[in-house]
Amino acid sequence: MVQELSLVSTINKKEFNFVINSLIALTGQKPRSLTNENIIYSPIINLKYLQSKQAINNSVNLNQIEQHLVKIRRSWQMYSPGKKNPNVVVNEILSNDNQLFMKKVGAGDVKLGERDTTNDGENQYSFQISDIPAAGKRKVSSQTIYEVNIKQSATALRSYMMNLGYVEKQRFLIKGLKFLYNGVVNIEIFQVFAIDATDGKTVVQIIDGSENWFLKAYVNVAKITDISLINKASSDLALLQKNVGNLIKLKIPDRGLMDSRINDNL
Amino acid sequence: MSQPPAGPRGITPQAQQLPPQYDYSSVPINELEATRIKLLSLTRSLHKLQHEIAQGATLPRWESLHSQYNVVITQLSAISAEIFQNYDTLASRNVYPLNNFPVTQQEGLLTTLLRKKPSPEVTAWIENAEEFITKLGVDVTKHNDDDEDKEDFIESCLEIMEKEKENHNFFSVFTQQEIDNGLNQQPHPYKINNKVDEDVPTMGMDVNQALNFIYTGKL
Repeated sequence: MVQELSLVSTINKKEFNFVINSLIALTGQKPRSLTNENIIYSPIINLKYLQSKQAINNSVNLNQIEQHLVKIRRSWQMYSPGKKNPNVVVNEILSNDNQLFMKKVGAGDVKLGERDTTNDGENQYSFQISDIPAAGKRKVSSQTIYEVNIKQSATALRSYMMNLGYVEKQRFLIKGLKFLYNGVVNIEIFQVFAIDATDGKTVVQIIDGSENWFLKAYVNVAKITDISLINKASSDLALLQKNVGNLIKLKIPDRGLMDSRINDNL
Repeated sequence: MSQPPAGPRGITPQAQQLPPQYDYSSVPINELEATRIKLLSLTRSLHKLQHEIAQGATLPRWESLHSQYNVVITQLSAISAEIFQNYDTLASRNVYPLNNFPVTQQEGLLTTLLRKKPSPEVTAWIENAEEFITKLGVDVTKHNDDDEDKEDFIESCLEIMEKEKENHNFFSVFTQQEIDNGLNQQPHPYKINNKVDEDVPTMGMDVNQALNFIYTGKL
């Protein structure tokens, strides 16, 4: 369980270069690549829905049970088939050429691969359930995330999740860059690509046609009860917010839109 | 019978309790005090800097480091100027312990105080500096205003700066002269695509909509 304190911002495509250069100067670092593949799983049985339709015995109160969407995430690097080593993707990302990227991945000219695949083809996945961010007037968003690592091969993942009672709902890619500010604040700048692999062929489509970039600055704190660390993290984020204020408008995300709890409408 | 000299408040001390009378007139008190005060302020700022670095998990902000570094440098140059100014006075004095100094108990302190030879790590610093200066090829012992020497020195400084510049990433920062000479047209080290599509609409998806997709899969 980890408490994630964050601030977010939208970066116009035109400002991308400027923002990246400023962040390189501010953090004194070269950007590192941020690339991961995500699958959102939803439960097969929606208890809230069943309850609302009185489809199950009403003597059982299901209101106490909270179901959540599950997110499975693994990192990837692009590589061309036949070549052993994954390409360094930072320059590819900085080229900001999404049309080419989508075409390449969709056509299989480059594949998405795991950095640390074992001999059995097993991948390291992170299994995440996130709570709705805390309510109330606050300076930064604060969200509880539960996370474990699992090892599965890509083909076994589906049946693994099926056994848990979950089916795939949406698959997407995150492509971007990350920085570390002051040694504590993670800054991620990314774009989101939806993957549709239904008819046997992969279609990769950026979710935002205007190709804006999204920025998330966050600090993870191990325990929500550790008030001094939480306060330190909040002030670190506030400092970043102040320092980049003229360039990037960091704001608190809308907690309602980050709610991955299951409700009764299907 | 002659009276012993009256002490403060009229108390007459015993003659044997009187401290021996020393002649301090030839001690360069002003010069030593001036150096001492400057050394004190230097140790204080060094302690403060050390404390600040050791305290937090991360380094202090660079602005703070830089300003403290400037303070230390100013204090160092003040001390060196002070010592240089009083060089003749200080160099011609010999230091020795007084009769009543507890030599056996304070042997360590005494050897430190009387030591004229630099300690081994200081010797190493001096050797390093001398080696560095030799590499520069500048004779810094000459205190004349030879323009040629100055030019040589400035030239070597520039060379070092250029070398240091290669170790870091500087870009998109140009002087007016460099812009006039077209030097700002250098390719970007990260090959950032500088083409901007003009037909891209300014408004697009907000980060909240993107987060909604990331957390719920809804578009």
